[in-house]
Amino acid sequence: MTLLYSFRAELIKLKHSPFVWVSFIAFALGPIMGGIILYVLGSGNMDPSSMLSQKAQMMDFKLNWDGFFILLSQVVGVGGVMIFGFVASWLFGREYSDKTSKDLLALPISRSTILNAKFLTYILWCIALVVSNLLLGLIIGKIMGLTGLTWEILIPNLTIYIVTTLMVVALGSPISFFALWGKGYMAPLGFLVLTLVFAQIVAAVGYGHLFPWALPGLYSGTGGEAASHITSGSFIILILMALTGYIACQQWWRRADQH
Amino acid sequence: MESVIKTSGLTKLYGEMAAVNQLNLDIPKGTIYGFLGLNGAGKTTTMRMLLGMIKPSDGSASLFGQNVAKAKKGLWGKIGYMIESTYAYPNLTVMEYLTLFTKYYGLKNKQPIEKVVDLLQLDKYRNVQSKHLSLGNLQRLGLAKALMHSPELLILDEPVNGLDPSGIVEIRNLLKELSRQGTTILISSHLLSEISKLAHTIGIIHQGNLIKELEADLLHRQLKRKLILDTKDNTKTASLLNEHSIKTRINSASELEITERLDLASPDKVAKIIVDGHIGLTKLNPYEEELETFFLRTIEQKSA
Repeated sequence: MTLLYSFRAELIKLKHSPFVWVSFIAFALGPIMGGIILYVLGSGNMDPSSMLSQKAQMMDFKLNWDGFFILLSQVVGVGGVMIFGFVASWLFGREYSDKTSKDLLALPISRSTILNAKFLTYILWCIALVVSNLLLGLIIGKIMGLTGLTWEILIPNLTIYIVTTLMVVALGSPISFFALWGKGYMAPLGFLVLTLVFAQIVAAVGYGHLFPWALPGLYSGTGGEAASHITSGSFIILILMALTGYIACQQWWRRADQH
Repeated sequence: MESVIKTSGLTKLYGEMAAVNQLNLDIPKGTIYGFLGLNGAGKTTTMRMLLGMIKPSDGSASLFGQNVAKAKKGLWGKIGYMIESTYAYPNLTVMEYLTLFTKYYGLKNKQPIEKVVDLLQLDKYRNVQSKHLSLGNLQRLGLAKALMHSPELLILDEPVNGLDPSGIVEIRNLLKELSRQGTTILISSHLLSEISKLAHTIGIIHQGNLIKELEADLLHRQLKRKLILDTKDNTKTASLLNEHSIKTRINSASELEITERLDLASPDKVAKIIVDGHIGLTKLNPYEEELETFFLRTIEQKSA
């Protein structure tokens, strides 16, 4: 019950906040760009030596629903890491940037509950983002004239889309910890940039399947064949990272001095 | 009387420096306790320890008999607080901000909000986003949040900062009324003049140490008083007064000063002696030390 009250309080905090809409608009750029790629590839006027063309060839991009769904999953796997990271940074870091954290520390609701309400808000916000992108993607695909949307295509692609989403969402907890520890936005965003850079390097040298922030991208197919390196161990590493972040958040918020 | 706030050897160290050092407080129910100190004296650190925001390096604090370190969450429902200046979520209106805290305090209806909005005269700012509020109105909003759930204990850190003179009087009267109704209040300030009008007991804290605790009613007895006088011949006046067992000294402005308490009580007698001695009296000025001067003197004495 207290979690529900605390969650409702978190929802009130989102009112009139431009960042909510900015996150949806920024995330929607993924399917919109996908639509543009579809249009350009479909028009047949593309220079084969262009970067976009080469990338499309590397990804084995197909002008059909299958290809478009892969692209949507990759938007989550790569863009989601960034956008969800921003969401986590903002949700947890704003209490320090707005200097409101002190008002959350001596309440008849436990600090753990307040933190859990924040995580719940984060998860639902991310889900809303991926659902909106999926719906937008379906609309764009329809406008672009993609045909042949069957359950055989939808189910496996939707599974990849959902699993990629869950992986990216799970990576929000370490970022949240940096927001609490760093008392604002700078530390989590710095950490986020660092992980994105490392993800590129680690994936390039062939160890992406062992690095949590590279996994969603690889799983969604951005690395082509590299997705086959992902094992159950990769998922365990990611889950352990998410749990570590969550436990660190709880312990820090409950035990550290809050100035 | 039942203690609402009790600390025992409460200490907070930052490296070698003691922000709060061996603080012992015992504040009974219904009291307004004024916590007075310069910036950085340890007032806010003490309040943060009382609220469980930071952990003491040594000693303990209890509220309503519950050790803060092991307090059950229900304890915080009895407490309203405002630490440092109020910072509200900038995008939320006054009503949204207060509604948000009804969720945290488990208040079921809007009645408490209406009560505090009315009490703190925030009615015309109901739908104004907090980023557009003046500092004074933000303080009112912070107080409204602190009072909304009718707490039994209020911990207020410099609550009148940013308020205009009429706002200060209004808040002072409100706090006095709450105290009459049984609310215990711990209030900090660096202005003795303000605290002395409100508190029952005043604790002066300096460099983390509680250096003086006094009843506000007795404060005026602690203030230095003197009678300053100037005559056409101060040397002759001094010896004349001395003959009547009135001791004087010459101050930096070459005027005479009388500081003995008994003599201060009868300036008319002093004037009569001088007039009867046919010495021209040009100045007779009873002086009482200002509260802030007393405060600074107390701190300086302790530092020395």
